[in-house]
Amino acid sequence: MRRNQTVLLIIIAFVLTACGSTQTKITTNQFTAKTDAVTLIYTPDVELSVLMATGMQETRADWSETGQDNITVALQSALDGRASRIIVHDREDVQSPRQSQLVKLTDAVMQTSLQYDYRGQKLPTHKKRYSRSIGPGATLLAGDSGANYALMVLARGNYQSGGKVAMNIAMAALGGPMQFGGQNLYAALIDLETGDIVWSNLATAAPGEDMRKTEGADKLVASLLKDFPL
Amino acid sequence: MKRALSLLAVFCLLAAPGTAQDRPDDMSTDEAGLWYKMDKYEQAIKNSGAVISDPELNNYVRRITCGVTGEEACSALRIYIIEEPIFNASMAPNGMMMVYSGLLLRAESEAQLACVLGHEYGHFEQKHSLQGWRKAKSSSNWMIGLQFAAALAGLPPEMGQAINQVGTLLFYRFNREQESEADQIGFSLTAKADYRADECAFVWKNLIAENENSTFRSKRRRGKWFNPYSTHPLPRDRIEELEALASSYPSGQVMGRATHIAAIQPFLQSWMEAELLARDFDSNIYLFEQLKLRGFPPGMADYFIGEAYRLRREEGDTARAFEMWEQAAEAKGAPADVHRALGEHYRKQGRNKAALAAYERYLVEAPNAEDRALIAAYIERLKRKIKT
Amino acid sequence: MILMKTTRRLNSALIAICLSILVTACATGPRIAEPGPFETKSYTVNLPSQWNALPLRTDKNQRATVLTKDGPRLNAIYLFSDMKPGDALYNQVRRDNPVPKFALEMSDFELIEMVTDSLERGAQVKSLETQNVRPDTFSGNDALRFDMTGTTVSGLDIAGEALLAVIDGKFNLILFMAPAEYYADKYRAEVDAIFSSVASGDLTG
Repeated sequence: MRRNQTVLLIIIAFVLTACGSTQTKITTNQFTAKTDAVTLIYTPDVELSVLMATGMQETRADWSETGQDNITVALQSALDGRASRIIVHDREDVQSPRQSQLVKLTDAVMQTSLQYDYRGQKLPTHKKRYSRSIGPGATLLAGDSGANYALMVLARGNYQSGGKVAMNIAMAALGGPMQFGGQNLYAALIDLETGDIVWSNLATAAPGEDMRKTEGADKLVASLLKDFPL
Repeated sequence: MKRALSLLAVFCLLAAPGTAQDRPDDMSTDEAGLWYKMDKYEQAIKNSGAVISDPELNNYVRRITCGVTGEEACSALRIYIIEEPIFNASMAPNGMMMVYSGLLLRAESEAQLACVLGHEYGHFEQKHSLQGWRKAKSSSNWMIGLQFAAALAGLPPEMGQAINQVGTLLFYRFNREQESEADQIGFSLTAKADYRADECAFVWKNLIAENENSTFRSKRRRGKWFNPYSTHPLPRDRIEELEALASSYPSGQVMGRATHIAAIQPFLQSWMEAELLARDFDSNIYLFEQLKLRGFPPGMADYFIGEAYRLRREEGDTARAFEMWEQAAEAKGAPADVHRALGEHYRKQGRNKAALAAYERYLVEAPNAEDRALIAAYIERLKRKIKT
Repeated sequence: MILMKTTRRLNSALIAICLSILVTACATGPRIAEPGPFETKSYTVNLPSQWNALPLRTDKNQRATVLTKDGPRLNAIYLFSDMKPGDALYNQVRRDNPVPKFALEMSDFELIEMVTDSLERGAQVKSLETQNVRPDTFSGNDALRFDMTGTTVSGLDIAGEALLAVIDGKFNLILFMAPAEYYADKYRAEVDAIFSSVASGDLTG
């Protein structure tokens, strides 16, 4: 009986890590996707860590940088042909204080949406709609590029160390607490004319979607771009 | 003897000109991870509303820093001055240095500032953050065993939290040794930059004196009692060590009192306002009195001493505040606000003519005051009262 | 035996804590604020359209409400009402980090100072500046009104407006805060209307 329970726990642990998921939201505001559009891809903000047996996390610069590169390239190739032109834009490259304010406002709006539209309790006035915007000042984000859209991507996650995997198996046997790590991607597409977030997605990576590898990043980006309007 | 030898070792180490800390080559290391994380943090600090961007003040702090570290090492450092009422500076493993307004306000001279900046640079050069992180990691390994034991005993996961704290305790004790090492490095760098390194001990003496005047028991006790959580060695021990160093090694000549006062004077008002936000009014009064003794405009110091009394609200503080404001109004360097404070005081006392005169003087001295409309309404009301 | 008693007492204490957490969890959810009068303990504001109301835990027994359209980070009207001497706008966490507290003998400037110090110290608003401090009315009583600008810790510029009054020895405050970019003006007309609607706490008001 005890052994069966252990096996079950291990299976549950495996299933938990095996779950990949996406949660897309499409604006309920007036929106028609432009053809021949230009999209700015802001370099994804990526931070990946190792989850150690003790439960402590340690940032891995190599994984983070590889993840950032892989996702950028995967986004480029996935969007190539969908939108007519793609420009990769360095997140830290801001030309004016107003542009900097718009980027920070985008962060604040995305955080708010994460808090109230994705997690926690919804705001009653936002229950039946997805209406998130940084306002018409967004045009300024296009700069001289003539871009119509901007895509912001945030990635955070950790991967179990070998020690953690072993510890989890042992913990499963004991019925103790387990930690599995995981990686999340959060993306928003902004219409630079209205400032509206016309599409957003919160994706959890499935086991085959390891952004540290090019194929994994391609698969993860394919999941991420579900219902992408362009 | 052992200590003397280790000090000697530190000096030999520092005899070679400082070199810039390079980015780690191997990106898979914990050190590279720390840099990556700190780079992100720095980006956020840089764009935050907390940084004082004034070029002259930044040049001043950079000049002292570079004097202490040497030009080459300094070229790799980024310095951010932050308005925060704490007596501290800090340095991250990626070469980001944060200097708080509370330190600039409390340092008596370039020499004292050099001591603290040299100390922080010592942490950086010796890669103390990295050592601390590694210590935390290795000291947490034995926690795995405890976590298993906890699981076996059927204890809830919250036990893990308590176990973690023990690990943190060990980590902090380790830090105390690093602090001593950084003190030694800071001392020798200060001396090498031709500053009066015997001033380093005064940084701590001043801090002890200020803490002893604190409103809060926790602060008054600091430095007197051993606290296992404190990240720094006892200030008294530090003073002893620094004085021992000062007596056995040649010090520089430069003090740089006047230049320090001149560099921070433009920010005095806003930094003293920031100090009041911490609401440690007894320590504020002590500090502001010290600032007056050090040659800052007495009108400014007295005004803020009055402000600290007003905010403290103890028996007799109203009279004390008034006395300080009256004194400030006639002294050099008083901010226009002192006349508003006096106007408020007279109005409460029913001394309408005196109140009117004070408010009017306030508007003359601060014609663009944000509360002009309100003061104008007071003036109108007072004029009507005086007439009737 | 003694041990068992202690354990039982501990258990009931734990249950009480869990219950109190549950109760607060229920109470802290956002709820709809329909157009029309919205009551606080001591005054009523009139809402031109639907807002969301979130409770805000402040000093001990004091409760305040946040009205928001899109989330408190993007637009927030804080309604503090019926604050007694000794009450504060936010909770004190450490003994050696006291919060500004309301006192009856406070002058106009000291009342404004309580608000701005709380924002700087409690909400970590940087470079906070007040503008256009002026006399106004709050349900027929003498009141103070002023504008504000500042920056969040992450560097987002914010704008705000405040209206405050001491009525019958109680402190009342309406405070609007929003990012300066887009959100400060998005509902400008509504915010202005809400500020000027401050009526008496009387239900018929």
